[in-house]
Amino acid sequence: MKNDLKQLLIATQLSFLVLWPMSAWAATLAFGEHLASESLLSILATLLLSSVVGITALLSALKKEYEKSGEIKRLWLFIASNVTGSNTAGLFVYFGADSWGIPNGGKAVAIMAAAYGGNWFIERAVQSFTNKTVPEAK
Amino acid sequence: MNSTYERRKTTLSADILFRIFVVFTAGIYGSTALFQPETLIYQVAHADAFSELIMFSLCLLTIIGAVDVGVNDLLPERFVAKRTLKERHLINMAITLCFAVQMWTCVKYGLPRSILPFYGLLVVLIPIAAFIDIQKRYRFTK
Repeated sequence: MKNDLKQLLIATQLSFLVLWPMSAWAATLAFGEHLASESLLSILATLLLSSVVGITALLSALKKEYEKSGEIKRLWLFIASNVTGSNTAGLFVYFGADSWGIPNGGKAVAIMAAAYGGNWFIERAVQSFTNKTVPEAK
Repeated sequence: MNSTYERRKTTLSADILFRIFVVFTAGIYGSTALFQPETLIYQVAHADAFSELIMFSLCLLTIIGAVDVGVNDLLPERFVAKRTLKERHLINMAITLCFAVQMWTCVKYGLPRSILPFYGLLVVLIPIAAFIDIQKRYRFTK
């Protein structure tokens, strides 16, 4: 069982290491033009906007978890997983919306919706992953 | 020793003061955005229809936040606004979201950036205060 778990973790690490450069390369191909034309400030503002959505979802999840169990182990992992999903999805939609020609108001709504969606997706992914690899608490 | 204890008991705590500050700031922001056309805040709030909608939402949220602070923090303990107390983190984060959208609008429309530190400060500090509030009220309660 312990070996299986170790192998699974190594496989996950390997797939992450192999897939990461490919996805970064694909992102520059898809959004390269926009990355060059967008100012750092607007990217930072988008990151902050999506982070706020992520933190809102995070606080609701924290409250729910505290009501259920009183304490959260690996709190930083919990926070990072929630906010990373929001940031990634928010940034992708921001660059995508630029190329689709959506007006600024719609773009802000799309970023917020994507940030919430990204948060939801990562949270589910982390939950299903941890349920598979870590024995359930009794 | 006793007098110190009594004084600490009656002094407003830092988180209550911060919530009062947030509600006042949001209120002043809303009133400036509505009634002061010569200000930068007005320009940002009226940059497009969505920004106006966000500004009106901020005014509404300020009223809800003021009810929360007034009833749950300042009035005696027998007065409780349960719903706002339960959803306090959502009220605070909704106010933060309004400021974050206004900051984003300011950057996207290329409006003067002197106002950005104001938005940035609120967008960073309010979530921290909301996080601390959740930790204080719910951690180890089970």
